[in-house]
Amino acid sequence: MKIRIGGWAGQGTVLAGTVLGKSLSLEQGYHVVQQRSYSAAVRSGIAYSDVIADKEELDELVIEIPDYLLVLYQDTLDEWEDTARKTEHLIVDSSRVDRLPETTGEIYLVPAGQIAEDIATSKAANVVLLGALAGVSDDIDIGCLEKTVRKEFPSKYTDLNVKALESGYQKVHG
Amino acid sequence: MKDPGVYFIEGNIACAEAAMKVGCRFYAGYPITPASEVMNHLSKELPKVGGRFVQMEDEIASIASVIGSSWTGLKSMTATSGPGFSLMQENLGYAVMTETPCVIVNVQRAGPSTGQATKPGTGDVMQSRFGSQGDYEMIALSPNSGQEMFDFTVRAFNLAERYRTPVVLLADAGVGQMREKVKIPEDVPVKERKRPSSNETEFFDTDEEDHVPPMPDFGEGHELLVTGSTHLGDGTRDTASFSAQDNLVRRLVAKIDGNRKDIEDWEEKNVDGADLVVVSYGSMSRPARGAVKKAREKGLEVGFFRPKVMWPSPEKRLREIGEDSKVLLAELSLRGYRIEVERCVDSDKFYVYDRLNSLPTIDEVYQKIEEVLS
Repeated sequence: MKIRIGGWAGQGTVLAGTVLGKSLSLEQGYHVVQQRSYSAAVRSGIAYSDVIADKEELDELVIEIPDYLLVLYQDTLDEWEDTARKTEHLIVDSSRVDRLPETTGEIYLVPAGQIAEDIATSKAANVVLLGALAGVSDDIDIGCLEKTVRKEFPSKYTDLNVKALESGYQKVHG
Repeated sequence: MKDPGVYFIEGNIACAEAAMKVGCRFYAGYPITPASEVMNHLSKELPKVGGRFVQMEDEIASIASVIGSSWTGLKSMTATSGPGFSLMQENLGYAVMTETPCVIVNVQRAGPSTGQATKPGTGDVMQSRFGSQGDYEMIALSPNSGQEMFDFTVRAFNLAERYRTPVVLLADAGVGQMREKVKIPEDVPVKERKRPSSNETEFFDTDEEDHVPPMPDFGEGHELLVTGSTHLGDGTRDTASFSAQDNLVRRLVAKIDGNRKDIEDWEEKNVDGADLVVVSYGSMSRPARGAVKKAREKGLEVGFFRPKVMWPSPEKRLREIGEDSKVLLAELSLRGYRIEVERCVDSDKFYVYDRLNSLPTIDEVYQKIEEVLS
């Protein structure tokens, strides 16, 4: 299972990847590698996080075409057009993305930024998309993700992030 | 410091945790991508276990400070990447010459020079062995996972203490910044440096078979001079005589070379009788190992060999492998380990899969295996 979460620096793509990696590794018992990529710029630029999970030990550390591609920013999606065409599951924050590539895979439009803002802050859009991912994939357990979110975030941000996670899940699963 | 348990953490954090666990109580460094997480983590955690953390003005001062603190009896380390590692070379030689145990972590990135700060590379392999001037031997370990970032950091400290020498943890951005499951055990093996008796006078010479003299701490009352110049057993400078140079430098080299059996470590699988053996190390060895597995599933007689200790190199084993099999070196560099492997293998049996900037997929390495065997 190969997942890429991409956006613009500052949107929490690395944090989302870490939460997902921890959940799959420590709660669901997968072998997991998680990597981050960011440019050498102090600010801005494409930032993304790759998570690979498998029942076997992992020596494949690179994602060519992700099974699940989560995108939080239009410029990032434009840059990854070719990858986006080939992925089976494209999950986008439709509050920030409106130009979509032609693809034979499924596209899931989740207004993550708007949902997050309605809860508390658009910063939680990354977590909304994680929830949507759990809604799309049978292999990703929403309960384990929630448990990880509760452990990972400072207590004052826990509730809003759990709400963000559940809202994303309901959006595609409900 | 984390409690014993299983964590999903970056290799650099595993390295920092291992350092504290094995007893490191001094860190001096200067931040640099992709090694900064080691420093960042220790800046918060080291004081909590009674250690000292100093951010120095540059990498030259960092390693100088690490050497000084080691002479107070503290296990000491620094972490850096290519540009900083270059700055450290002169004092790395000083640590060799003064027989100062310390650990230098080099989380390698794409070079030369500033190169690509956030991208992995392993172009510092020869530098880690030969970067400082003069004749010496070096110990360098190459981890390929988060768990090995932990385990090899522990071993790096133990080798440094055991052989009274600087040890390089030669990581790369691939393993340093990748998150994986890492088990932090209740206890780790801990070795301490040899201590002198109160009437000892020889701190830079020994008749012991392991060639390792005892090391006192500053302030313990022993009289000695610590100098990078050629010296006698009590540290007195002798910059002219044949015997001083011959005795000291031969012992420094023998200390590592003569203890190879204890130091060397590698992983090998299906090497004997293989048509081709893939040699790889660091993060690149993961897709390389995956490619070997895939080749075997397709019925190809391919073996896998991975030096965990890069220096001293497993040259004897490499020569044995090169006698019977073709060798494909897979590395994240054009010149990283190439000269060392090439010299152990006949040129008509030697092949290279080199790659810059980023790790390949398993399939990309596999295609090279097919090409070599076709």
